[in-house]
Amino acid sequence: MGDGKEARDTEFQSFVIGRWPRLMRTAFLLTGEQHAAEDLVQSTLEQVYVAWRRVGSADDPEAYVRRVMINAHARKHRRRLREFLAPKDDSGLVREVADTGDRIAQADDRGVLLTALAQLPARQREAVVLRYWEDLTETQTAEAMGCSVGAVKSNAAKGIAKLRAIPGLADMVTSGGGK
Amino acid sequence: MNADREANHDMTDRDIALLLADAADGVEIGIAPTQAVIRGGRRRRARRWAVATAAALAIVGSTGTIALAGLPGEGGHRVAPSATQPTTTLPDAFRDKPQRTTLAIGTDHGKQWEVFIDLWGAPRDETEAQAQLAAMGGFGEQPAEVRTASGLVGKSSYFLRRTVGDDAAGTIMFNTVKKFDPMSGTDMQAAATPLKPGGAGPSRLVVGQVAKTAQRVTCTWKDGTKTEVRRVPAGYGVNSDEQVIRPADGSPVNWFVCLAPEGTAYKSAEVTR
Repeated sequence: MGDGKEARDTEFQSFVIGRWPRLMRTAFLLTGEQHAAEDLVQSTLEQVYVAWRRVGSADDPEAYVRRVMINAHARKHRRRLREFLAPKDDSGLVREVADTGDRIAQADDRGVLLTALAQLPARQREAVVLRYWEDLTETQTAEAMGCSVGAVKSNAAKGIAKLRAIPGLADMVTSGGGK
Repeated sequence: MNADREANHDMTDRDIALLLADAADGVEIGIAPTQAVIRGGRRRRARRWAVATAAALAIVGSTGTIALAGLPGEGGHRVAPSATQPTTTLPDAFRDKPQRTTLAIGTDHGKQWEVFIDLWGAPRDETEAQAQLAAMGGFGEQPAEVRTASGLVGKSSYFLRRTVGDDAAGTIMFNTVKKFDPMSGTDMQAAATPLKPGGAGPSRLVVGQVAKTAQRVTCTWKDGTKTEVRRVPAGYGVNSDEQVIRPADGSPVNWFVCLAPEGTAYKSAEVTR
């Protein structure tokens, strides 16, 4: 009994260590801010821990984790018209050591995209991040967002259209992106 | 301008994906705080237990049985689902996601609160039940009296919950049943609880279910004042000025919410018309 619990904790720890980087990146795109991303991932994983006995043996624990994360993000921002994450300046958002011109430029580029993302409504941002960063199918995205495939299509299309309409982003693409 | 337009047209989905990937690299990954996560997870589990024992829910039901807030599957205070006369089942849809209806919203001490109900349709087989159980977990919902997915087959579930501010939703009433208990006349099943999930303090929030025919519920508070809520039709707007009795999508009973004014608490509640 006790061994079982210990084994589950060990298994959960491995899961956390393995998924942490990816979850942090996704959370960063969703929240636009380092500490908010850490909070979102940590609180997501805490919820996953509570249900780990079931989740750990599920076929696709990733899907469950995504669902929890998106649900937490959606709930947190449901009633906010604009989110706190809108970056006020790049230095607060992008913790680059800006010791070369290239790095500064790269940080600026990231800032442009994060600002653009921050200006999207939460559901559009979720759809864009899941479809284009997580590379999920529309069906998987719908599952994660707890909505219909139609809603995913609509949110993703609107979000992408808004991103495309931002001149700064287009410039980044024409000048070779942020790389 | 033209150049920008040109560029916009040229920005493909792949470009967006590359930009996102680049932006995602801007985060500091750091070391996964596994111990903090586990401690937090244990606290969450303990907090759910605390809700089960400290919610001090005042049951004013006159029929049937309900399950009270707690951690389902971990022995919270609840009554086994009744096998009384069947009335209605939830529709077949909503097996893998809940049918959510907002019952009431408001602001208290500057924080927005919301009471809502999630109804889950009955899974037809164990595969569907497993998917539903996992999906429920994603919503922070765990069914009553069910320890394995197979226990969900053929049963509908509901979770009456509330959120206050940015806190996670707390469950007030929930149940998993083959058939809802029939309700008629002045039948009522309700619970009174502090507004804030897991919070101490007076039981100001009264929520519950009544027959479809009930037109008015009167909540009486300890200071002698009363709040009357009236029945409204499906689709009636949810606004913070008015608590009402309303239908919930997929539910064979109606649901009401009363919030006691600041400084007083629940004394009684009944169907008065």
